[in-house]
Amino acid sequence: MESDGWKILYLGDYSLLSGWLKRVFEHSDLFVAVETISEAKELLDRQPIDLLVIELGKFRSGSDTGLINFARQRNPNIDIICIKSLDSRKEAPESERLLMGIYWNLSKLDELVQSDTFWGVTHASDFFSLLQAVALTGKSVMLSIHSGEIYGVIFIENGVVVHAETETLEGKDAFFTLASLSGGLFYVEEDVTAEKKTIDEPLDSLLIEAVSRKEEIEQPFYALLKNIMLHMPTGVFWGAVVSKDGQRILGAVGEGAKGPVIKSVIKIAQTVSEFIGEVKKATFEFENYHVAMECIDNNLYVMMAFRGNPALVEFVLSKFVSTYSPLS
Amino acid sequence: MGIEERLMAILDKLGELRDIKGAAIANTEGFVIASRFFTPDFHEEKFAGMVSEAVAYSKRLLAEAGAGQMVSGILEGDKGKIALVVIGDFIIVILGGTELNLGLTRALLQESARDLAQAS
Repeated sequence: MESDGWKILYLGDYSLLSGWLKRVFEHSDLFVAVETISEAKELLDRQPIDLLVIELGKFRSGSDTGLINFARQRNPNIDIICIKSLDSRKEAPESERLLMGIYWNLSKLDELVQSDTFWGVTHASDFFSLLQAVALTGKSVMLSIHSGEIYGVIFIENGVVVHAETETLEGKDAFFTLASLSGGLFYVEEDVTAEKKTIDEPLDSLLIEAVSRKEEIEQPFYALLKNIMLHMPTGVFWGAVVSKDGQRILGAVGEGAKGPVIKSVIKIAQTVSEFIGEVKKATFEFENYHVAMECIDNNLYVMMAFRGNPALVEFVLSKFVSTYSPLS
Repeated sequence: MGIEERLMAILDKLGELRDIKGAAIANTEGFVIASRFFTPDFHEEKFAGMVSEAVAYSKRLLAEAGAGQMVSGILEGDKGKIALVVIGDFIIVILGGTELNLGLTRALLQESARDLAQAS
């Protein structure tokens, strides 16, 4: 991608996106990722920035748009990409939610990102729609997907999936792995054909199989969560089974915003593992409820959000996990 | 008693826990304000910095999640345990071995949080 000589500033805390942008703009003169408005302002004051990428809705109301105005005052020709993850804008029309995880305000960036190429941030419910929309164009496309430690590509030609691969798998197994991701970044390139063909099936039939495989994998975890929630001695708000990197939610029951809490808890567990080894068990107290977490195998955690006695909940959680875990 | 002595007194009290490896008071920007670690080669700045950075990240993330801010956390790994309590922009964090008594730790941390609130 031609971004030689560009100075790029990313404001946000989505490390996956930051890493992705860094790769996309690898030839830029400068790529800086900051997490606060004040850091961004300081940098914008210090030197001219060509492109500002900002995550909307992460900061105090109005401060993100304030920063955009500030950036424009410093450099009227600055390009600005505003990003909002899809899960926080459920009110948006389906057509918008589908593809435009990223909105852009472009001038010279038009040259860089042609209309036949787009980036986005997607979540599970949108992923199948995304694939269908891509297939409906009838063009030959390569869809790259990046989520946590998984990176893969799917090639679609005339509505038919012809190839899929991840770093360790290829063919249908790779396709189903990618289709099971609960979120991630995608990038679509048109007029790209696969060098090899490992699949020859219409997208619709593959998607039906993907849904049934997903249900088959998730069903035991839903059963475990429902069982725990039913027997908990105190009010449980929600429960979830998540992968250790927090990228995949294999089962979730109950009401409440799980995403940010899961992400927070996983981030802390990942941070401290350097000092105490792999986290097997944890309890967090938040202002409005507690969260208990327990490892159910080497790659998964079960988490419960509840109000009540943490010691009692931890005990019940441990007992159910050891007795009813689908993996035990 | 000066502020520094009061903070060290809080850490000294935590130091009475069995199988404790160290304790620190840091702010959510990752700066260590006071610490007491019992292994000479332990990288306490890095430890407290990383923990407080993770807590600060959570604070930002949780702003609109309905859970409210983080108050405390206890994590058990296969090589040790970590307990932390958040008081406004400050964190008290304890690093212990696998034998650290979590019930007692929780109680002492709450007491320390009250002491810190008074000291600051």
